[in-house]
Amino acid sequence: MDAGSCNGCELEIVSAFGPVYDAERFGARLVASPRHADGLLVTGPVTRNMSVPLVKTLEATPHPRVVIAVGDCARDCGAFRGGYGVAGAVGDIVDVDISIPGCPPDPTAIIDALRGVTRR
Amino acid sequence: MTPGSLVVIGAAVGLGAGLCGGMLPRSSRVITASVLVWTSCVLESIAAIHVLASGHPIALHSSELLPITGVDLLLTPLGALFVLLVTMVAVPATLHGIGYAHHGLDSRMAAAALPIFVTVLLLVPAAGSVATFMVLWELMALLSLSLVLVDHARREEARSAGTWYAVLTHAGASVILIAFLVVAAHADGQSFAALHAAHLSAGLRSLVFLLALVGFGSKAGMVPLHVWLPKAHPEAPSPVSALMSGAMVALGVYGIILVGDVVLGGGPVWWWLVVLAFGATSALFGSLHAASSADLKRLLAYSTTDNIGLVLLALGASGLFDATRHLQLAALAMVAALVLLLNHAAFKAALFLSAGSVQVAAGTRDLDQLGGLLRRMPQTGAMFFVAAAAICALPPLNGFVGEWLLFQSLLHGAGLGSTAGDIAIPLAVAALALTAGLTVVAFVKAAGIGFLGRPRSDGAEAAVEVPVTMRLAVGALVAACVVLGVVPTVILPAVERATRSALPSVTALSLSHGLRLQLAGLQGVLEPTALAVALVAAVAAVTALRRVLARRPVPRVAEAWGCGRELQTARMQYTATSFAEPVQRVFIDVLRPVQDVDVTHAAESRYFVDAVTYRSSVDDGIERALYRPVIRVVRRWGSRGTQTPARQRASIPRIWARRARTHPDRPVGGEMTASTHVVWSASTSVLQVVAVALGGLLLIGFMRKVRARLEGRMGPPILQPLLDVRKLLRKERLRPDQATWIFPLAPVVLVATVAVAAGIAPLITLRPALGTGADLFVLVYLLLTGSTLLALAGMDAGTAFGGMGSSRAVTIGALAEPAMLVTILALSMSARSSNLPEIVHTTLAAPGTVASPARLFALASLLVVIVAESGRLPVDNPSTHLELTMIHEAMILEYAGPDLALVTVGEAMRMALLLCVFVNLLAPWGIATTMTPLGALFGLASLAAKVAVLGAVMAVAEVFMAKLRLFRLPELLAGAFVLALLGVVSGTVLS
Repeated sequence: MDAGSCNGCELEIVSAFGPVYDAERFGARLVASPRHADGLLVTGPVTRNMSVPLVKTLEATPHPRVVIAVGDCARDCGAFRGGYGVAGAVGDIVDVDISIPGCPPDPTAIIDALRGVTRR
Repeated sequence: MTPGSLVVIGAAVGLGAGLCGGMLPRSSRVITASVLVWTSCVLESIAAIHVLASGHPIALHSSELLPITGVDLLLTPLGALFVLLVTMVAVPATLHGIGYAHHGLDSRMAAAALPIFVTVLLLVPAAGSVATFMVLWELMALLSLSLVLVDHARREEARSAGTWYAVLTHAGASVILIAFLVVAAHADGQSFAALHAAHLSAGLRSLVFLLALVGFGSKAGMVPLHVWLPKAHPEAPSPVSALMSGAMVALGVYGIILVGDVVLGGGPVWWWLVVLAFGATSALFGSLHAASSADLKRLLAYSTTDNIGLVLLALGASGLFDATRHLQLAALAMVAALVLLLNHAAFKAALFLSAGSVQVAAGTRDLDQLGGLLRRMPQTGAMFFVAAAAICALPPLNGFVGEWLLFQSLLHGAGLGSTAGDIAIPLAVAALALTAGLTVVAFVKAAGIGFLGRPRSDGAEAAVEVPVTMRLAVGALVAACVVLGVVPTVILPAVERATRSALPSVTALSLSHGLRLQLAGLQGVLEPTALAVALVAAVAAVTALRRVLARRPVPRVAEAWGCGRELQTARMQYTATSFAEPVQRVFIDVLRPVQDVDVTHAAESRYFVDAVTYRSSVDDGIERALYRPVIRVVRRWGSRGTQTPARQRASIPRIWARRARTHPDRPVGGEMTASTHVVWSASTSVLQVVAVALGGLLLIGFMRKVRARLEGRMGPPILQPLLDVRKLLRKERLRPDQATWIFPLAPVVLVATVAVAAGIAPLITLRPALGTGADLFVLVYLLLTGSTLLALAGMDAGTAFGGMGSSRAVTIGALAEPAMLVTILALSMSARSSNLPEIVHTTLAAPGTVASPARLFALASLLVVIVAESGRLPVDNPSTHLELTMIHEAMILEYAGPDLALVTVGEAMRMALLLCVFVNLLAPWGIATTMTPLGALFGLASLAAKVAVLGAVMAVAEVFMAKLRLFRLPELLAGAFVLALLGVVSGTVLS
């Protein structure tokens, strides 16, 4: 879920699921719909336009579910803190279970967090 | 009371009903007339049942009623069956008419015409001479015309429809009259018996047959004489449409049987090839237009043409076999034709009556304005769904039995040695298959767009359930669909007797053995009752499993997933027009849709768009190409003659417009007698189901692993799909706020149908418990049931992508169907049976058949079809997550938790089952032929090994393949079809 990121974190997420890091071998997979998901990877500071979609996406995800805030912006708005279009960090809008620091975070950090969820 | 007097009293009561309808005050006329009509129907039916039970026709003569010739009635078993058919439609239709009365049926004229129309319908099949027949035939035409014109004062379309109908039906009647006159000129009298005895030259006989085919074909809605149907059926009040489409059109077919088989006593091969050709054309043309119509009743009217096409296909096959002296097959095909007619009467009348209910409740029958009706009219909606499933030939409903009989008669008739038949029959099977696929498109559209999702207009929003009489009427017909499907053996003796009276040379014919359909002297068994019981049991078992295994079985109601959008409206859903777009695009050369986009710019600047108007209409190509020029010439001629300019312009076809703003045999296993064997073979069935379920998931994991390794990745563990399913079962169930009972039902049905298929197919052992019914045809239709339900579920939430996925999935399914059925035909030819254990057994007995060109072509085609059906590359990419390129996944975007687990398991099982069947057809060695645990173990191991090899090959191929563009898929599937056809041809040529 891109809540307003600069797409740096997305590149790292894609890379984590690519041939080099291959997060799929730990049982994690990107899915097409929040209905199929167990966790939401949320990136970027939450912009005003994206705050309702973020809440709605979380509502659409079946329990039990985890919210993973990926990157510094998602944790504390990073460089965009105080911006006029920023509604807040992910934790200000929804409950966050796991945070991954970094601007952008390393794929290994993302995989570490995912392994914590898949327990492998 | 003698049966003969019953016929007379019934007719008198019917006429009395007409009088009551015309004389009584408005408050009581419809009810009184209806009650009298029912009495008439019951009396005539008792006489008909008497004729069918005894086999002796009723003959009556009265010289007073008609001057010069008198009235001759002769109720043969064939006619008696049609009397029952008319009754089956007429009683519910008039019952529905009571509730429908204040929509135009309570005028003096309509209330008088409707009962007499029904009476005449009951009497036409009892006519015994040309004069009586023609008088009744004309009365039928005139009365139905007056009923089509009920709305003439308010609607221009009704007047135009009336004109078209009047011209075509009278042209037809005059051609029929000429045909009869030609025969009567050479006969001693004008009764049908005398006509039969007449001696005609071969040329005259052919002339008579062709004239009768054209004349009765115009009534039956045969292409190219069908143009009145899509005009008159929508304009007539729904009870009248039901009568016309269910009963009157069937009498057109009765006429063809009457002249072709009863009067002329059969004819040369080419007559019947003509009938076959007309049948196939009608079936394809009708189903194609039904798939692209957005008006519910117009869709139903075209679907009538399609069903009559299938009946003509069966009739043509029957005549063909009769001409080549294959009497048993001729009888079988005739039974198929009559069963198809009875089925059509039941489900089409139910659908027309429900369409009438919809029109009463929502004020429109335009699918683009409907939606969400299942929540608002739960009973009418549910009954529409059952009738739609019946017309799609989903087991265990009646349409399936009819198509099975037709397919069996064609299968056993293929390769009989006559060149014409060898070419015609595979093409007939292909026509049957494509028609079946397009029918699914049409009715998934009708049911999904009309009844699921969000309402698209205020009328649909405000719709409420219709009065109880209307629901009862539809309910009776739906019950008939279920009974005819689950226990067809109740009606088969009557159908067989009618067949014998149509084909006198057939001596003995018995299809029904208890609850089983068995083809006499041929290999083919269908156990509809057992199939129905197995399906119901499987659905119950899977539902119970979901409840037991799921940690949170009660679903949470959540807003439908709209990609996080703040507002979701009905405008975002797929419409009927957009649903049909892929089909329209594939068949663009046939349909030639007229599309038109108007962009209105804002006044201030051309850079801003104020409104976009898109129009698309599909008008009848035959009407445009064949009738319009004739009409134009006649008009010009007429205006030249009177020297006054033509006043009216040709009426413009209805245009769909929409303003868009910013949003865009032998009983196999019969030798098992000992109870231990029964228990053992039942356990092999269970073993097969479990093996397919677990094996399917492992297969998915294995294929992912193979792909990952080839891509240089480690990939997920092979057990991952199993772990995913376990995880999904522990998760929460979600139900979208707009969803109905279809949504939770679809995954259950998906798994249940595949489980039943896996239980009966010869996978591990050659003869599992339920294996007698393991017909390839049954297997295909079981899988079709699951995917059809899933397509409906895709539209249930009322989201944008669900409809898109459903539309694409059913379109691909429709295009894969011809390849699939012709493949089955090719595979069945060496064993002379479509029974799977039989085919596998033949291969085991003669290993050389595997390498025969027929088998190899067929298997190549089957592989393409399997890839398409299980949504693998290059048809669909199971690992894509981009909605616009999705086919399959778009339908299941709404499923979560245990429901998603069921969908995943169902899909995996379907792919595994198809691959298992494939490897067992390719190389059955290793399958357990004896009933021992060791044999079963070995069977399981060899099957797993074979499927694993095939799965690995597929995975390797997928790595090097890109997904095809959606609109390139028809080429791939057409290629598969050609391969299958080559298989059939090489099978007949080389055998």
